[in-house]
Amino acid sequence: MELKILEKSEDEMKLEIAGESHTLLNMLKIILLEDERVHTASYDMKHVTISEPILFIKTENADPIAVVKDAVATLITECDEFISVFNKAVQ
Amino acid sequence: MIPVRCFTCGKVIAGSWEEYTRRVKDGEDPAAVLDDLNFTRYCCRRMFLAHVNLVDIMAPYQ
Amino acid sequence: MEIDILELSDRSAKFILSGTTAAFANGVRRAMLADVPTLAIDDVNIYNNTSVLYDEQLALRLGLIPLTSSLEDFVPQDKCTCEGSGCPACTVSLTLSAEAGEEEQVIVHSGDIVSSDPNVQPADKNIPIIDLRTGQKVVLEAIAHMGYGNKHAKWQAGVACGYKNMPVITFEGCDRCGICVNACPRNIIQLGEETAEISKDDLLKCSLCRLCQDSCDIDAISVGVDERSFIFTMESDGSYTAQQLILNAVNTIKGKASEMQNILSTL
Repeated sequence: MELKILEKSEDEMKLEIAGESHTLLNMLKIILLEDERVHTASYDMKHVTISEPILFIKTENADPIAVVKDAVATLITECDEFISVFNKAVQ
Repeated sequence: MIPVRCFTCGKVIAGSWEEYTRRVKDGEDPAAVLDDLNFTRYCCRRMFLAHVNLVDIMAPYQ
Repeated sequence: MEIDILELSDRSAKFILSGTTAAFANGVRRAMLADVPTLAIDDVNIYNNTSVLYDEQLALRLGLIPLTSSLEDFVPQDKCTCEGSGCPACTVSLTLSAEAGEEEQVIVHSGDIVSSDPNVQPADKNIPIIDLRTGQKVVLEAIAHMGYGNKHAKWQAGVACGYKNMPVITFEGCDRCGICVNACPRNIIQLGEETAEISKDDLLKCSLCRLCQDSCDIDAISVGVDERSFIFTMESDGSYTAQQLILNAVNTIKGKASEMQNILSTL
Protein backbone atom coordinates (compact mmCIF):
# COMPACT_ATOMS: atom_id res chain seq x y z
CA MET A 1 0.00 0.00 0.00
CA GLU A 2 1.20 3.48 -0.82
CA LEU A 3 -0.46 6.71 0.20
CA LYS A 4 -0.10 9.91 -1.78
CA ILE A 5 -1.73 13.19 -0.88
CA LEU A 6 -2.82 14.69 -4.18
CA GLU A 7 -4.42 17.85 -2.79
CA LYS A 8 -4.77 19.16 0.70
CA SER A 9 -6.17 22.27 2.30
CA GLU A 10 -7.40 22.99 5.81
CA ASP A 11 -10.65 21.10 5.41
CA GLU A 12 -10.29 19.14 2.18
CA MET A 13 -8.08 16.30 1.06
CA LYS A 14 -7.61 14.05 -1.96
CA LEU A 15 -5.73 10.93 -1.00
CA GLU A 16 -4.57 8.27 -3.44
CA ILE A 17 -4.42 4.81 -1.86
CA ALA A 18 -2.39 2.75 -4.30
CA GLY A 19 -2.83 -1.00 -4.30
CA GLU A 20 -6.22 -1.04 -2.58
CA SER A 21 -9.72 -1.72 -3.86
CA HIS A 22 -13.39 -1.31 -3.02
CA THR A 23 -12.89 -3.73 -0.10
CA LEU A 24 -11.08 -1.20 2.04
CA LEU A 25 -12.24 2.06 0.47
CA ASN A 26 -15.95 1.38 0.77
CA MET A 27 -15.60 0.44 4.42
CA LEU A 28 -13.59 3.59 5.11
CA LYS A 29 -16.08 5.77 3.27
CA ILE A 30 -19.03 4.50 5.30
CA ILE A 31 -17.15 4.92 8.59
CA LEU A 32 -16.13 8.45 7.59
CA LEU A 33 -19.71 9.39 6.75
CA GLU A 34 -20.80 8.36 10.25
CA ASP A 35 -18.30 10.85 11.70
CA GLU A 36 -19.89 14.16 12.75
CA ARG A 37 -16.84 16.17 11.65
CA VAL A 38 -17.14 14.92 8.08
CA HIS A 39 -19.05 17.00 5.55
CA THR A 40 -18.39 14.84 2.50
CA ALA A 41 -16.54 11.59 2.00
CA SER A 42 -16.32 9.62 -1.18
CA TYR A 43 -13.93 7.66 -3.31
CA ASP A 44 -13.42 7.15 -6.98
CA MET A 45 -11.89 4.31 -8.88
CA LYS A 46 -11.76 5.08 -12.57
CA HIS A 47 -11.10 1.50 -13.60
CA VAL A 48 -11.27 -1.66 -11.48
CA THR A 49 -7.94 -3.11 -12.53
CA ILE A 50 -5.76 -0.35 -13.93
CA SER A 51 -6.34 2.70 -11.75
CA GLU A 52 -5.74 3.49 -8.12
CA PRO A 53 -8.60 4.59 -5.87
CA ILE A 54 -8.74 8.19 -4.71
CA LEU A 55 -10.40 9.09 -1.43
CA PHE A 56 -11.93 12.53 -1.23
CA ILE A 57 -12.85 14.00 2.10
CA LYS A 58 -14.22 17.36 3.21
CA THR A 59 -14.42 18.09 6.91
CA GLU A 60 -15.90 20.70 9.17
CA ASN A 61 -13.30 22.33 11.44
CA ALA A 62 -11.05 19.31 11.58
CA ASP A 63 -7.83 18.12 10.05
CA PRO A 64 -8.72 15.63 7.28
CA ILE A 65 -5.72 13.41 8.05
CA ALA A 66 -6.72 13.11 11.70
CA VAL A 67 -10.27 12.21 10.68
CA VAL A 68 -9.07 9.48 8.30
CA LYS A 69 -6.75 8.22 11.03
CA ASP A 70 -9.72 7.88 13.39
CA ALA A 71 -11.73 6.07 10.72
CA VAL A 72 -8.93 3.55 10.20
CA ALA A 73 -8.75 3.01 13.97
CA THR A 74 -12.52 2.42 14.05
CA LEU A 75 -12.16 -0.17 11.29
CA ILE A 76 -9.48 -2.01 13.26
CA THR A 77 -11.68 -2.14 16.37
CA GLU A 78 -14.58 -3.40 14.22
CA CYS A 79 -12.39 -6.20 12.89
CA ASP A 80 -11.24 -7.09 16.40
CA GLU A 81 -14.86 -7.14 17.53
CA PHE A 82 -15.79 -9.48 14.66
CA ILE A 83 -12.96 -11.87 15.51
CA SER A 84 -13.83 -12.04 19.21
CA VAL A 85 -17.59 -12.34 18.57
CA PHE A 86 -17.02 -15.00 15.90
CA ASN A 87 -14.71 -17.06 18.11
CA LYS A 88 -17.29 -16.90 20.89
CA ALA A 89 -20.08 -17.96 18.51
CA VAL A 90 -18.08 -20.95 17.24
CA GLN A 91 -17.55 -22.38 20.73
CA MET B 1 -11.63 -33.96 -19.25
CA ILE B 2 -14.12 -32.45 -16.86
CA PRO B 3 -13.12 -28.88 -15.88
CA VAL B 4 -11.58 -28.77 -12.41
CA ARG B 5 -13.80 -25.95 -11.17
CA CYS B 6 -17.25 -24.65 -11.95
CA PHE B 7 -16.90 -21.83 -14.52
CA THR B 8 -19.29 -19.58 -12.65
CA CYS B 9 -18.79 -20.01 -8.92
CA GLY B 10 -15.36 -21.66 -8.76
CA LYS B 11 -16.37 -24.67 -6.68
CA VAL B 12 -14.12 -27.67 -7.23
CA ILE B 13 -16.35 -30.14 -9.05
CA ALA B 14 -13.97 -32.55 -10.80
CA GLY B 15 -13.57 -34.65 -7.66
CA SER B 16 -17.14 -35.92 -7.98
CA TRP B 17 -17.00 -36.63 -11.72
CA GLU B 18 -16.04 -40.30 -11.54
CA GLU B 19 -18.68 -41.10 -8.94
CA TYR B 20 -21.26 -39.20 -10.98
CA THR B 21 -20.52 -41.03 -14.25
CA ARG B 22 -20.40 -44.40 -12.52
CA ARG B 23 -23.75 -43.90 -10.82
CA VAL B 24 -25.45 -42.49 -13.91
CA LYS B 25 -24.13 -45.45 -15.93
CA ASP B 26 -25.66 -47.78 -13.35
CA GLY B 27 -29.04 -46.27 -14.14
CA GLU B 28 -29.54 -43.59 -11.47
CA ASP B 29 -31.26 -40.33 -12.28
CA PRO B 30 -28.60 -37.58 -12.84
CA ALA B 31 -30.65 -35.09 -10.82
CA ALA B 32 -30.82 -37.44 -7.85
CA VAL B 33 -27.09 -38.13 -8.04
CA LEU B 34 -26.27 -34.40 -8.13
CA ASP B 35 -28.57 -33.78 -5.15
CA ASP B 36 -26.85 -36.58 -3.32
CA LEU B 37 -23.40 -35.16 -4.12
CA ASN B 38 -24.51 -31.80 -2.66
CA PHE B 39 -24.49 -29.75 -5.84
CA THR B 40 -27.21 -27.26 -5.04
CA ARG B 41 -26.43 -24.44 -7.48
CA TYR B 42 -27.45 -24.77 -11.10
CA CYS B 43 -24.09 -23.43 -12.30
CA CYS B 44 -22.30 -26.46 -10.88
CA ARG B 45 -25.02 -28.90 -11.99
CA ARG B 46 -24.77 -27.84 -15.62
CA MET B 47 -21.03 -28.54 -15.56
CA PHE B 48 -21.86 -32.24 -15.11
CA LEU B 49 -24.98 -32.38 -17.28
CA ALA B 50 -23.47 -30.55 -20.25
CA HIS B 51 -20.02 -32.12 -20.22
CA VAL B 52 -18.88 -34.30 -23.13
CA ASN B 53 -15.67 -36.15 -22.41
CA LEU B 54 -13.79 -35.44 -25.66
CA VAL B 55 -10.64 -37.02 -24.29
CA ASP B 56 -12.16 -40.44 -25.04
CA ILE B 57 -12.25 -39.57 -28.72
CA MET B 58 -8.81 -37.94 -28.73
CA ALA B 59 -7.02 -40.43 -26.49
CA PRO B 60 -5.86 -43.00 -29.12
CA TYR B 61 -3.99 -40.20 -30.94
CA GLN B 62 -1.07 -38.09 -29.82
CA MET C 1 -21.97 -6.73 16.54
CA GLU C 2 -23.53 -10.15 16.89
CA ILE C 3 -22.91 -13.43 15.10
CA ASP C 4 -25.26 -16.39 15.19
CA ILE C 5 -23.86 -19.45 13.46
CA LEU C 6 -26.51 -21.49 11.68
CA GLU C 7 -24.33 -24.09 10.00
CA LEU C 8 -20.62 -24.69 10.19
CA SER C 9 -18.87 -27.57 8.50
CA ASP C 10 -15.37 -28.11 7.19
CA ARG C 11 -16.07 -26.58 3.79
CA SER C 12 -19.11 -24.35 4.27
CA ALA C 13 -20.71 -21.98 6.73
CA LYS C 14 -23.92 -20.06 7.18
CA PHE C 15 -24.27 -17.39 9.82
CA ILE C 16 -26.21 -14.28 10.74
CA LEU C 17 -24.11 -11.17 11.15
CA SER C 18 -26.02 -8.35 12.78
CA GLY C 19 -25.37 -4.91 14.19
CA THR C 20 -22.99 -3.81 11.47
CA THR C 21 -23.04 -1.94 8.16
CA ALA C 22 -23.48 -3.35 4.67
CA ALA C 23 -20.00 -1.96 3.93
CA PHE C 24 -18.44 -4.21 6.57
CA ALA C 25 -20.38 -7.27 5.41
CA ASN C 26 -19.38 -6.54 1.83
CA GLY C 27 -15.76 -6.05 2.86
CA VAL C 28 -15.70 -9.47 4.50
CA ARG C 29 -17.31 -11.02 1.42
CA ARG C 30 -14.83 -9.39 -0.96
CA ALA C 31 -11.88 -10.28 1.26
CA MET C 32 -12.92 -13.95 1.35
CA LEU C 33 -13.15 -14.06 -2.44
CA ALA C 34 -10.17 -12.01 -3.49
CA ASP C 35 -7.88 -10.85 -0.68
CA VAL C 36 -7.04 -13.99 1.31
CA PRO C 37 -3.82 -15.41 -0.14
CA THR C 38 -3.70 -19.14 -0.91
CA LEU C 39 -1.27 -21.55 -2.49
CA ALA C 40 -1.79 -22.62 -6.09
CA ILE C 41 0.45 -24.08 -8.75
CA ASP C 42 1.79 -21.24 -10.89
CA ASP C 43 4.90 -22.49 -12.70
CA VAL C 44 5.12 -25.93 -14.28
CA ASN C 45 8.30 -27.45 -15.68
CA ILE C 46 7.23 -30.20 -18.05
CA TYR C 47 9.89 -32.81 -18.71
CA ASN C 48 7.72 -35.20 -20.67
CA ASN C 49 4.14 -34.99 -21.88
CA THR C 50 2.99 -37.44 -24.51
CA SER C 51 -0.66 -37.29 -23.44
CA VAL C 52 -3.44 -35.78 -25.56
CA LEU C 53 -3.65 -32.65 -23.41
CA TYR C 54 -1.47 -29.69 -24.40
CA ASP C 55 1.10 -28.56 -21.86
CA GLU C 56 -0.88 -25.35 -21.25
CA GLN C 57 -4.12 -27.21 -20.57
CA LEU C 58 -2.32 -29.54 -18.22
CA ALA C 59 -0.78 -26.57 -16.37
CA LEU C 60 -4.19 -24.89 -16.06
CA ARG C 61 -5.75 -28.04 -14.61
CA LEU C 62 -2.90 -28.33 -12.11
CA GLY C 63 -3.25 -24.68 -11.15
CA LEU C 64 -6.94 -24.96 -10.34
CA ILE C 65 -6.44 -27.81 -7.87
CA PRO C 66 -6.78 -26.31 -4.36
CA LEU C 67 -3.81 -26.90 -2.08
CA THR C 68 -4.10 -26.85 1.69
CA SER C 69 -2.45 -23.58 2.73
CA SER C 70 -1.41 -21.87 5.89
CA LEU C 71 -1.10 -18.14 6.36
CA GLU C 72 1.49 -18.62 9.10
CA ASP C 73 3.86 -20.80 7.07
CA PHE C 74 3.96 -18.86 3.81
CA VAL C 75 4.10 -15.25 2.71
CA PRO C 76 2.51 -13.93 -0.49
CA GLN C 77 5.11 -13.70 -3.21
CA ASP C 78 4.82 -9.94 -3.66
CA LYS C 79 5.55 -9.40 0.04
CA CYS C 80 8.38 -11.92 0.26
CA THR C 81 11.96 -10.85 0.97
CA CYS C 82 13.11 -12.70 -2.17
CA GLU C 83 11.26 -10.04 -4.21
CA GLY C 84 9.39 -12.55 -6.35
CA SER C 85 12.29 -14.72 -7.45
CA GLY C 86 10.99 -17.66 -5.42
CA CYS C 87 12.27 -18.97 -2.09
CA PRO C 88 11.11 -21.56 0.47
CA ALA C 89 9.09 -18.88 2.29
CA CYS C 90 6.76 -18.26 -0.65
CA THR C 91 6.96 -21.34 -2.90
CA VAL C 92 6.44 -25.09 -2.65
CA SER C 93 7.61 -27.64 -5.18
CA LEU C 94 5.39 -30.56 -6.19
CA THR C 95 6.09 -33.37 -8.62
CA LEU C 96 3.91 -35.59 -10.72
CA SER C 97 5.06 -38.53 -12.77
CA ALA C 98 2.78 -41.13 -14.29
CA GLU C 99 3.00 -43.62 -17.07
CA ALA C 100 0.38 -45.84 -18.68
CA GLY C 101 2.90 -48.40 -19.94
CA GLU C 102 1.13 -51.47 -21.28
CA GLU C 103 -2.18 -50.62 -19.63
CA GLU C 104 -5.10 -49.48 -21.71
CA GLN C 105 -6.12 -46.57 -19.52
CA VAL C 106 -4.67 -44.84 -16.47
CA ILE C 107 -6.39 -41.82 -14.96
CA VAL C 108 -4.00 -39.61 -13.03
CA HIS C 109 -5.59 -38.02 -9.97
CA SER C 110 -4.64 -35.04 -7.84
CA GLY C 111 -3.78 -37.54 -5.08
CA ASP C 112 -0.86 -38.75 -7.24
CA ILE C 113 0.89 -35.38 -6.87
CA VAL C 114 3.87 -35.65 -4.54
CA SER C 115 4.47 -32.56 -2.44
CA SER C 116 7.79 -31.57 -0.89
CA ASP C 117 5.94 -30.10 2.12
CA PRO C 118 3.71 -32.51 4.10
CA ASN C 119 1.42 -29.62 5.13
CA VAL C 120 0.78 -28.63 1.52
CA GLN C 121 -1.34 -31.29 -0.14
CA PRO C 122 -4.11 -31.26 -2.73
CA ALA C 123 -7.32 -30.60 -0.77
CA ASP C 124 -9.21 -33.14 -2.90
CA LYS C 125 -7.48 -36.41 -3.75
CA ASN C 126 -9.79 -37.61 -6.53
CA ILE C 127 -9.69 -34.83 -9.12
CA PRO C 128 -8.90 -36.42 -12.49
CA ILE C 129 -6.00 -34.47 -14.03
CA ILE C 130 -5.27 -36.44 -17.15
CA ASP C 131 -6.33 -39.60 -18.94
CA LEU C 132 -3.33 -41.62 -20.15
CA ARG C 133 -3.60 -44.40 -22.72
CA THR C 134 -1.12 -47.12 -23.69
CA GLY C 135 2.41 -45.77 -23.95
CA GLN C 136 1.58 -42.22 -22.85
CA LYS C 137 3.61 -40.55 -20.15
CA VAL C 138 3.68 -37.37 -18.04
CA VAL C 139 6.60 -36.16 -15.94
CA LEU C 140 6.58 -32.67 -14.49
CA GLU C 141 7.57 -30.43 -11.62
CA ALA C 142 5.04 -27.87 -10.43
CA ILE C 143 5.84 -24.84 -8.32
CA ALA C 144 3.10 -23.43 -6.14
CA HIS C 145 3.06 -19.76 -5.12
CA MET C 146 1.07 -17.86 -2.57
CA GLY C 147 -1.19 -15.47 -4.49
CA TYR C 148 -4.43 -13.49 -4.41
CA GLY C 149 -7.85 -14.32 -5.83
CA ASN C 150 -8.07 -10.94 -7.54
CA LYS C 151 -5.26 -12.02 -9.87
CA HIS C 152 -6.50 -15.47 -10.87
CA ALA C 153 -9.38 -17.73 -9.81
CA LYS C 154 -6.93 -20.46 -8.82
CA TRP C 155 -5.98 -18.39 -5.77
CA GLN C 156 -9.59 -17.81 -4.82
CA ALA C 157 -10.21 -19.48 -1.46
CA GLY C 158 -13.87 -18.58 -1.04
CA VAL C 159 -16.54 -19.95 -3.32
CA ALA C 160 -20.01 -18.47 -3.72
CA CYS C 161 -19.66 -16.13 -0.75
CA GLY C 162 -22.68 -13.93 -0.38
CA TYR C 163 -25.12 -12.33 1.97
CA LYS C 164 -28.66 -11.08 1.98
CA ASN C 165 -30.44 -8.76 4.34
CA MET C 166 -32.53 -10.22 7.12
CA PRO C 167 -36.19 -10.12 5.97
CA VAL C 168 -38.71 -8.34 8.17
CA ILE C 169 -42.26 -9.34 7.29
CA THR C 170 -45.25 -7.98 9.15
CA PHE C 171 -48.89 -8.96 8.86
CA GLU C 172 -51.36 -6.24 9.89
CA GLY C 173 -55.13 -6.48 9.56
CA CYS C 174 -54.91 -9.92 7.95
CA ASP C 175 -58.26 -11.61 7.22
CA ARG C 176 -56.77 -15.11 6.82
CA CYS C 177 -57.88 -15.41 3.19
CA GLY C 178 -54.86 -17.60 2.39
CA ILE C 179 -53.96 -16.07 -0.98
CA CYS C 180 -50.44 -15.26 0.18
CA VAL C 181 -49.92 -18.85 1.35
CA ASN C 182 -50.32 -20.02 -2.23
CA ALA C 183 -48.46 -17.04 -3.68
CA CYS C 184 -45.21 -17.75 -1.81
CA PRO C 185 -42.82 -19.71 -4.08
CA ARG C 186 -40.88 -21.01 -1.07
CA ASN C 187 -44.01 -22.14 0.81
CA ILE C 188 -43.04 -20.52 4.08
CA ILE C 189 -46.27 -18.68 4.94
CA GLN C 190 -48.73 -20.53 7.14
CA LEU C 191 -52.18 -19.63 8.41
CA GLY C 192 -51.99 -19.02 12.14
CA GLU C 193 -54.76 -18.54 14.71
CA GLU C 194 -55.46 -14.92 13.84
CA THR C 195 -53.21 -13.93 10.98
CA ALA C 196 -50.97 -15.55 8.40
CA GLU C 197 -47.50 -16.06 9.83
CA ILE C 198 -43.97 -17.19 9.11
CA SER C 199 -41.95 -19.17 11.62
CA LYS C 200 -38.57 -17.81 12.67
CA ASP C 201 -36.58 -20.54 10.89
CA ASP C 202 -38.60 -20.22 7.70
CA LEU C 203 -38.00 -16.47 7.62
CA LEU C 204 -34.37 -17.14 6.64
CA LYS C 205 -35.59 -18.91 3.49
CA CYS C 206 -37.47 -15.80 2.29
CA SER C 207 -36.00 -14.50 -0.97
CA LEU C 208 -37.64 -11.06 -0.58
CA CYS C 209 -39.55 -11.58 -3.84
CA ARG C 210 -42.56 -9.65 -2.45
CA LEU C 211 -45.04 -11.90 -4.28
CA CYS C 212 -47.01 -12.25 -1.03
CA GLN C 213 -47.16 -8.46 -0.68
CA ASP C 214 -48.44 -8.08 -4.24
CA SER C 215 -50.96 -10.91 -3.91
CA CYS C 216 -52.65 -9.44 -0.81
CA ASP C 217 -55.85 -7.61 -1.78
CA ILE C 218 -56.07 -5.62 1.45
CA ASP C 219 -52.36 -4.67 1.71
CA ALA C 220 -51.99 -6.43 5.03
CA ILE C 221 -48.46 -7.67 4.34
CA SER C 222 -45.37 -5.53 4.31
CA VAL C 223 -42.03 -6.98 3.33
CA GLY C 224 -38.95 -5.09 4.40
CA VAL C 225 -35.37 -5.74 5.43
CA ASP C 226 -33.22 -5.15 8.47
CA GLU C 227 -30.43 -3.04 6.99
CA ARG C 228 -27.98 -3.92 9.75
CA SER C 229 -28.47 -7.67 9.73
CA PHE C 230 -27.12 -10.10 7.14
CA ILE C 231 -27.53 -13.78 6.41
CA PHE C 232 -24.12 -14.87 5.19
CA THR C 233 -23.44 -18.02 3.19
CA MET C 234 -19.97 -19.07 2.15
CA GLU C 235 -18.04 -22.09 0.98
CA SER C 236 -14.35 -22.78 0.95
CA ASP C 237 -12.51 -24.57 -1.86
CA GLY C 238 -10.57 -26.61 0.67
CA SER C 239 -7.39 -24.56 0.99
CA TYR C 240 -8.64 -23.38 4.39
CA THR C 241 -11.50 -24.62 6.54
CA ALA C 242 -14.57 -22.39 6.40
CA GLN C 243 -13.90 -21.13 9.91
CA GLN C 244 -10.27 -20.28 9.15
CA LEU C 245 -11.24 -18.54 5.94
CA ILE C 246 -13.70 -16.20 7.65
CA LEU C 247 -11.12 -15.29 10.28
CA ASN C 248 -8.38 -14.92 7.65
CA ALA C 249 -10.60 -12.58 5.65
CA VAL C 250 -11.20 -10.29 8.64
CA ASN C 251 -7.53 -10.48 9.57
CA THR C 252 -6.58 -9.41 6.05
CA ILE C 253 -8.84 -6.36 6.32
CA LYS C 254 -7.34 -5.61 9.71
CA GLY C 255 -3.87 -5.97 8.22
CA LYS C 256 -4.69 -3.48 5.48
CA ALA C 257 -6.10 -1.03 8.02
CA SER C 258 -3.08 -1.36 10.31
CA GLU C 259 -0.74 -0.80 7.38
CA MET C 260 -2.65 2.33 6.43
CA GLN C 261 -2.58 3.50 10.05
CA ASN C 262 1.20 3.15 10.14
CA ILE C 263 1.65 5.10 6.92
CA LEU C 264 -0.78 7.81 8.02
CA SER C 265 1.13 8.43 11.23
CA THR C 266 4.28 9.16 9.22
CA LEU C 267 2.55 11.69 6.94
